[in-house]
Amino acid sequence: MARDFRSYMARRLLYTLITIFLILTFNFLLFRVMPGDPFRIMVPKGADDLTREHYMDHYGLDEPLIVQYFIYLGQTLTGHLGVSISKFPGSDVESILGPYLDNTLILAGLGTVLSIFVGVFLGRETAWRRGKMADRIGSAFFLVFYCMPTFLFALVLLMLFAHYIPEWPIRGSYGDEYFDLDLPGKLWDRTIHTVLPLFALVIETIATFSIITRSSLIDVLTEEYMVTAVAKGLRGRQVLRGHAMPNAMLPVVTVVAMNVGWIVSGSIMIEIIFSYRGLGVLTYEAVMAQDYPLVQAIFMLETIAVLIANFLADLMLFRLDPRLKV
Amino acid sequence: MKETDAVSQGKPKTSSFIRSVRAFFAGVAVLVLVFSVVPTNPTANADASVTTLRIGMIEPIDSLNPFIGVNDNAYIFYGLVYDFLMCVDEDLNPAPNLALSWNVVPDALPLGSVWQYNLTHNAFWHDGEHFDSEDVVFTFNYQIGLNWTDMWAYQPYTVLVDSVEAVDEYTVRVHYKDFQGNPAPASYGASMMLPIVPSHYWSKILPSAAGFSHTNPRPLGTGPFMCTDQTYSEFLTGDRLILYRNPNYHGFTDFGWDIKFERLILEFYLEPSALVTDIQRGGIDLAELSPPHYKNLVDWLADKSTQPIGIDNSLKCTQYSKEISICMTDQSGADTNLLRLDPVVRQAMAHATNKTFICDAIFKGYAEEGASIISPISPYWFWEPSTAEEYYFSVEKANQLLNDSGYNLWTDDHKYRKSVPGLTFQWQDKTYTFPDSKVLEFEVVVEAELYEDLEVYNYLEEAWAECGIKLTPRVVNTALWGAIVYGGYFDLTITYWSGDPDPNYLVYIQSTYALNGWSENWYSSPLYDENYTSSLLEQDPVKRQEYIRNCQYWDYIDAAFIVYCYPHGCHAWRTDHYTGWGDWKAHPGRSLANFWSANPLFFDLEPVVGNEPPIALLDNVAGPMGQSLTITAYAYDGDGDEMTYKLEFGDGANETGTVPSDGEISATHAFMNATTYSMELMVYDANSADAASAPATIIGPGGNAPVSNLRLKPDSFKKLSAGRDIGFAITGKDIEGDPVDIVLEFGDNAAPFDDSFSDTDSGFETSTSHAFEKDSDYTLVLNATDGHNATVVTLVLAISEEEGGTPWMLILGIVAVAAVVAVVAVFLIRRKRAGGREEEEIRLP
Repeated sequence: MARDFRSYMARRLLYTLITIFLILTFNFLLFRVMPGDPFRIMVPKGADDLTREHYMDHYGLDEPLIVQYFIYLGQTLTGHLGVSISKFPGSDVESILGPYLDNTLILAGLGTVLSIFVGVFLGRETAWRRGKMADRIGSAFFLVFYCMPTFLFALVLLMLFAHYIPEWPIRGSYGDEYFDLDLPGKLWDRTIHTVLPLFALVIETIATFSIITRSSLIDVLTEEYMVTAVAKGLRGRQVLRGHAMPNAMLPVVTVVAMNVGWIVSGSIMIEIIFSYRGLGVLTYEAVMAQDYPLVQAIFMLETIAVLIANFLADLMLFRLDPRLKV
Repeated sequence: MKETDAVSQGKPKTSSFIRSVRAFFAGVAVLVLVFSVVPTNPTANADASVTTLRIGMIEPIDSLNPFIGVNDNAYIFYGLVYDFLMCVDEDLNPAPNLALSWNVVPDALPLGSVWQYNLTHNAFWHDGEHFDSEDVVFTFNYQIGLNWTDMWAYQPYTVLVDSVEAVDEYTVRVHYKDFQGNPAPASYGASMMLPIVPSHYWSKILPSAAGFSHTNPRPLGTGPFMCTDQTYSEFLTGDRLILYRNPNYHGFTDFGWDIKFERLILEFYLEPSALVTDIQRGGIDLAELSPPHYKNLVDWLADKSTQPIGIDNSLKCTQYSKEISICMTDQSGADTNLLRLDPVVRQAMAHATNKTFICDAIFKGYAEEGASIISPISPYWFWEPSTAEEYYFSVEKANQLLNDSGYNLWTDDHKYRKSVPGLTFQWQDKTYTFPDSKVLEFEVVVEAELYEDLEVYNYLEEAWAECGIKLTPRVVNTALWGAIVYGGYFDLTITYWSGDPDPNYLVYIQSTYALNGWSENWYSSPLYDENYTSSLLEQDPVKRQEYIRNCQYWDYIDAAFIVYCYPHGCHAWRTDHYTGWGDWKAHPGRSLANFWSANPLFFDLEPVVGNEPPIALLDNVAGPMGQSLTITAYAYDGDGDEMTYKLEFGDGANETGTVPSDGEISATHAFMNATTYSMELMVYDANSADAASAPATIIGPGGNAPVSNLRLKPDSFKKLSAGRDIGFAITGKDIEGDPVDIVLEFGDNAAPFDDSFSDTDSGFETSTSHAFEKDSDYTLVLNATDGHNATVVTLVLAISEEEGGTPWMLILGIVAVAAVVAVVAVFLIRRKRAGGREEEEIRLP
């Protein structure tokens, strides 16, 4: 029996929402079963017991766990993600996340888009030219950059640009004058600050997507229905675009969805090397500072991003793969 | 069906879907980019052309609120924005700031219990409000009495403040007390190092919020630099904090302190090597570096003396010290080992610690061996043990102490010591008895975030094992470390302390009054406390010095803190961007670490605007006494500026004048004695100067003059880069016309250039060229002999990196990647060939 797209989407949405709820609960419990007193970090040298009690009271840490849980759920659902206790004491977590999220969206967002387009294109072309010189060189290129540690490539880039193009910015997501520039100026400023980390980030993901696309497409090209497509008179490129690629995209879509989480967290080395403050760096600093509200919010954000990506991937697969409709 | 129809039937669904996916992602990309550049605050007022001082740091500040932030960079920030009553001058003495003067009120008893501070009339808050005594009264009242617990940040200063009163609009009096609450003299009244905050802002903030959670989004001070509406956003982003010069700064009116640049930016780096790279290439003006990265920079600078980078590593003016802390409470829990309370055990630990090794190996030599909690940066208060008192490094001595005190049993593997059954010792007024034998084993709590502490622990574990003391690590994060240490549930830990130049702050934390609060070793000693309280009350600095040193003596003797080193601050700065850095070793208060407001460094820094310093060449001269000789010289200025010069002949006479940017100087002078005079030439442009010296060799009757007016001059002082053929002109003369041989050595092991001249009384001239292979400093030596005497001219050339030269790193990188790609490609081709034909046959299309 053919499945209706809307019921499929509703079912997936429900699963996603249940998963988000479970993750929120897990997220809450995780940091409360870890050792250490979260508020101690706020009181560096000298606070006495009375001061520590004030902290407990101020942040609601003296409430029973179940009360803390419902407060947490209520605040999260109303968009209040809590108050930072140590990384940015007193600041609302949602206002902290903003600039870091911007940077990550630019770096990881552009990186993902670029990786998909370039990676899929290169994978398709090398698969189409399988066994020829372009394929061999392309495959070698993919393997090298797939295996090369991202941080190494980033460090080499930093050193090269610092040495040979001293005017090129090697740190930060924008320059000193950013807020005083007009829109084209801002775009240019962002661009020149993003080029190096973006390049360092995408080189590996391009290789990843190329390899997956290539191997997936090669599998599809050897299917019998490809012979049918040729037999009915389609030209090579028409077969590729109309019949091979849609089928070859199935594993690529899955991998892209899985990569969303990796790109956000996996870009941390790139962010550190170029002092480009995105969610990766914020996660690291929040964990080191034991800033539980902040860490909770970041984990929640990243988890939801991965879940949404998987939800979208499910929808795309439903469109791409007719077998799911049965 | 036509082919086109087939295609159109086969394609539409999937291709339109893929197109829509592409469009979606392209849309996302554009949206991301557009949203990211929408200004979050249009009110910022930066100007791209303003002069800016950029300071590079690793650790971002942890709060904009001066009652919450704790890291050093946060204090540096507060010191830029806020003023204190007094500041610390370049020699670490208290100096006037908001308080122009202060004195003990003579008619208030006991004498010294009330201090009067006479405030400036010229200070304004950054929002334009006038500063007066109410702000000072508010600042103190905000942090004392019932608020004292909430306002923890400056407790060592406020703990003994009883009350504060405004005598008039610009005069305040602070009443001090003792720990019993009675009026008492305060010896530290001239060092109240806490920021003064505006009452019109902070009075709206409850102390419980001020001390815990208030973000203080736009810090409002009276200091030399101001925040903007953008500051909070910058703080959250963590890239940088941009501060602007305060045009109404009271320091200019009161003391002539002026900031000569418009903007100061604190730039925060995540990667230390990027920070080093930026100081090397001039991306920032001042950087604070870790010892390993500082060492890298020093090594890089070793053969590049002309690099415009100044460096300093010297003791921190914050009295920074590192210590092993031994928990002195016996309420530390059953898991801990109370044998640490035995003075002999602690003395053995101190003897077994090689402080020299720690300084050299872990701090790369950028540290000095420690003694007491007050650093030698404050020599007046610093105390160090005499030879008889010193716990000098000696494993033998440590073993002997333990052997003689009942720790001469060993574990089965004979690695660690055990106490004899029934061991008894006394600490303070308590006697401790251990009926059973107990292993000399201690747990050390180490903060995971502090890499150097981990290294020190690793060293201690190995070193102390040599005298039978077993250490086990407990590596925890900072939060847990605080819980353990401030709870007193530990054996040993590794920690640090710093404080202002007055000793009050640092001696407080070792007193009994700091238990359950600031104490990190739970040390409590009546003898220490007696000296500490005496030091608080003592107005005579000599007697106070004695009490303070006594405190350090007891702290050292009891060995509850084993202070192993005083780490240096490691800084680098650009001398081509700013002048006025000064000598940080001689004047440690000029260091960036001087965060007690009004750092004198910032008032002396002057931006260098596109100036190249001049270059002077002075030729030697030789001739008979009493005759007028022609002295020749050359001056060059890369900016094309006209220069002034002063030529001193070495006999008391001199000549001054002006010279064009690429000009010759010629002067005549008669020397009256047959001797060698030392001539000196100084040339000045508007901003800088250069000096050169040369001998004037004067001969008597019958003497033979050496080669005169000998000059070695490159064809240009610009673009002296590696790989370029640099031309050299050599000129001179011999007044007797003797044949002259010259030899020029280039200083790079290349074959020397030589030439000979026969007709020399009217002058000789020759030229050569040479290319230096790499960037470095080269000393060229020109030797000219006339058969009687030799004349030597040296010229030091700084050869810079090849401009626009071959980017070898880039080429190497590309070649390496290409080679790897080629190898993998060959591998794939071979594998493909071995794959057989079957796959080929079914391959489509």
